Amino acid sequence: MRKAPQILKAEKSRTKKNRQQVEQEKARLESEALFRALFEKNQAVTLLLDVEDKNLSIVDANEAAVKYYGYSKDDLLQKTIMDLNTLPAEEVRKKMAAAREQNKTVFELQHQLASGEIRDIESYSGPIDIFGHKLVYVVVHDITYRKRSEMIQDLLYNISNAVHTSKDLNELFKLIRDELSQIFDTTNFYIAIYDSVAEIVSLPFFTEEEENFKSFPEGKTLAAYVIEKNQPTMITKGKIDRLVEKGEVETYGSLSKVWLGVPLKAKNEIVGIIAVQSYTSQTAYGEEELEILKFASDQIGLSIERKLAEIEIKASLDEKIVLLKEIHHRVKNNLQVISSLLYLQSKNLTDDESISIFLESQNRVRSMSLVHEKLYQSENLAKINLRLYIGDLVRFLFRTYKTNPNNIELNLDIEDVALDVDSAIPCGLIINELVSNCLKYAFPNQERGEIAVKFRSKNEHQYNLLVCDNGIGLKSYLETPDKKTLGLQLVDTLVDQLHGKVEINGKIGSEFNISFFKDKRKGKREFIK
Amino acid sequence: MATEKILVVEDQYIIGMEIKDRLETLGYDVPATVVSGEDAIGKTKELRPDLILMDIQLDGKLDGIEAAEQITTEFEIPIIYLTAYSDYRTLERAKKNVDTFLCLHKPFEEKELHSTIKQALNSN
Repeated sequence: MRKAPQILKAEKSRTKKNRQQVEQEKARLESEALFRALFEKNQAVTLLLDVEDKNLSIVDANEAAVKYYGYSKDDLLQKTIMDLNTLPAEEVRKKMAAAREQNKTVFELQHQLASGEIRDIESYSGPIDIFGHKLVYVVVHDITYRKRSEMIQDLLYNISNAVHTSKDLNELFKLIRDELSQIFDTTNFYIAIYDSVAEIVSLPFFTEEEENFKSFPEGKTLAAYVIEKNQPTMITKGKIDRLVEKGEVETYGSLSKVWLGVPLKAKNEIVGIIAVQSYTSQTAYGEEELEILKFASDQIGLSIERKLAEIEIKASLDEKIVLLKEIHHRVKNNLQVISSLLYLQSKNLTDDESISIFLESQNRVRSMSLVHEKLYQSENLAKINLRLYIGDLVRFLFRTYKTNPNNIELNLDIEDVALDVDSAIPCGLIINELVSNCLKYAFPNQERGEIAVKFRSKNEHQYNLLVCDNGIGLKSYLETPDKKTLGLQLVDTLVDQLHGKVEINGKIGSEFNISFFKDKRKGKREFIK
Repeated sequence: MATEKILVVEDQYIIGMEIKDRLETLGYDVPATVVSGEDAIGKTKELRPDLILMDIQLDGKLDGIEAAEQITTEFEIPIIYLTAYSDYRTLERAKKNVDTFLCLHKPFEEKELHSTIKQALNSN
């Protein structure tokens, strides 16, 4: 029987419709499978969260997520994202809100795995709306290694910086310990300085929880073992036991599970070790920690080298200062011996003039010896305080000429000037001549009078020295200026030596007004003009 | 009046000669001039001087102040220190140990030398 064409047509059309539906269904399933696979098989840890739940419950998690967190899929789907975060839910919400406000889809957090391990993560998230049901997808990216290497970078930078900024080794040790504690446990950390002569290891800096000694004999300690091997060494409990068994190491105090030790070297010599140990976990430290410790040790070594060099320079400077003082002292002594020789020789003289000549010579020598005495008392051993020097010198002259202080008043007005030896000696000799002259000739009949010595900065470039008295004046000098006494000839010569100028007034009393340049080179140029 | 004996302790031999000469000019007897603290102690025991002129810086292990300390524990002999300005800090040490502290600053002049010696001998 044949069917009516209409029926056939209708049937045909239905079949076509069915076929179309099947095709569509198939395409839908394929697409569904594709996206499911994209989600499931994605290597990136991905979670789907329910925004309508306050705690953001996990509604789906891909295989990578299951593997990463270490929970079964069922367990994971029982959790909320807050269960994974180490921060309290309140803090996490704040962070999320802050990220939304800045239109950021990425933020950093810490998640705890099923094993209890805490990892640094970066999460990328975005909203999904499925038939009005609001979801959010989260892609979790583990950044623990990146974070750690960033931290290590910072740490290495900070340690190498600390070498330059720390005042002393102890401060440096403390800075290094604080830096290291950011990336590993430094509860049991010490830096030991090794004295190769005494074979003693001392601990200028340590923070041991279980030990309590500040120094120990080198002996067969782990420290000694590292010093002997002369290389960074990691020793775990098993190895320690074997070394003890072989008699290479004798242990003191508590036994550690893992021990890291790096020799400290300065100028290629071992000066100590830096060590860290754990009494609780064998995996507390590894090769990476050993590398970091080695870096710290290199930096400390550099710092010790620098300190040693400083000490050497200081010692050599101190030695030179002692030698310089010794030389000034000897020059002073030798000059005093010359003065004594002049005295002893003058003992056989009988005429007053000759005795006087010897006395003048003694005084000249003593004026010079006083400069050297002042020099080795001075702080920089190159300049003397002129106020102190002239004071002592003039008072000495007053005593030598047996001056009665009730008759002649001394008026000293000396600025606090530091003068170098090249200027101080001519200055001292000039004052010696002029003041001696005043004492000898200005007041021949024991009259009352005054002698003044003044020294001051005339201006920025010049000093001014004034020696004057109110005695009888310089009559014979004014009458025959060419016939100068040796004393006045010396004054002329010494003023020339200072590249200075002298003005003499001798009508009422006597006045010698001398100017010379502070900078001798400048004085020389002026002088040649 | 018997001539007083003065022991001179001065490490510079020639300066020592000058001091001896000056003292003799003033009428004192100078039986010895020594250059070290150790000799000063020895000569004091041997000669029993009436006065010692003591330089601060000496040859040998002892300085003038240490030698003087040892001498004054055994003998009641007045001591006059001969000093340079630079010895002032050292002198603080000496001042602590004696009731009357006497010193002459080098280079000294005869009148000062004489008056200080008279003061020392009278105080004894």
